Amino acid sequence: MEESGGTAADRPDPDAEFLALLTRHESALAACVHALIPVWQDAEDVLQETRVTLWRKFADFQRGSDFVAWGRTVARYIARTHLRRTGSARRVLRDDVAQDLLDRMARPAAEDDRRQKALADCTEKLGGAERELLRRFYSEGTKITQIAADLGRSLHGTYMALSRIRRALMECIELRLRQEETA
Amino acid sequence: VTAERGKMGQPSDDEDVGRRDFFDLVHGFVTASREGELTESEIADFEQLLADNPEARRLYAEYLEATLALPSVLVDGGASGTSSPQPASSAPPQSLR
Repeated sequence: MEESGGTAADRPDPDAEFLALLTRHESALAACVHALIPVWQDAEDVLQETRVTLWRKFADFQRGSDFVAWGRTVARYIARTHLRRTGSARRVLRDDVAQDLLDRMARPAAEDDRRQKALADCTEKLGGAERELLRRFYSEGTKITQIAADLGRSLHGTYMALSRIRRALMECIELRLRQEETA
Repeated sequence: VTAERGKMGQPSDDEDVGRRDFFDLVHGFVTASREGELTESEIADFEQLLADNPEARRLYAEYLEATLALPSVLVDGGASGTSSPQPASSAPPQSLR
């Protein structure tokens, strides 16, 4: 899927190649980790440890193999040890449910690109205020209570606005993908 | 936020939990998770919802993927996910520094 031939150790600049692969597949890898671990902060801790481990072990990565699949394998191992270490083993989804989620996420790269393009196009159609709400919550990580206070809106109204935007995005993406399939 | 998500999407015994309800439950669960408000009981209930409903699993997987992709989409219109691997930036990601 990525490239062909040789191991990472043979490459002239493995750090640059690793960063390019991580940048390209960051959100897919993050989605896999969050599918295993529903508690956001636990998943972010495991994701961070996974990134560092992948970087340290990048010489073992077989060129031409699936970077996300490799990352998913490493993430599962780290998730188990992390959750055992922190005593939060019950805050992980049971294996059969997590595996089903990971199977659904394991699509060909072209299909992932198609979905990413649909998300980008649908997000572009939103109004400025809607995009700003998404940016503050999903990019900045600002809490909804703070966003509501900053906007001078009620918590309920802000929560409902976020919910409406996400639903509209989901419906837009599904419509786009259906239209492409029937075109 | 816990109270806000409690106002929507909670299935009742005589209610057919449809697709709209799954969206509300998934959105409410992930939003509460981001806000650090989930309890182990809520996780167990959500896990059971996923275990019992393939449609809920499909929606949850796609919702998570979109949620995790949004930051890059909002920054660059999703360019990082729609093209060949980009040249590495001059500095490694903050998480690796």
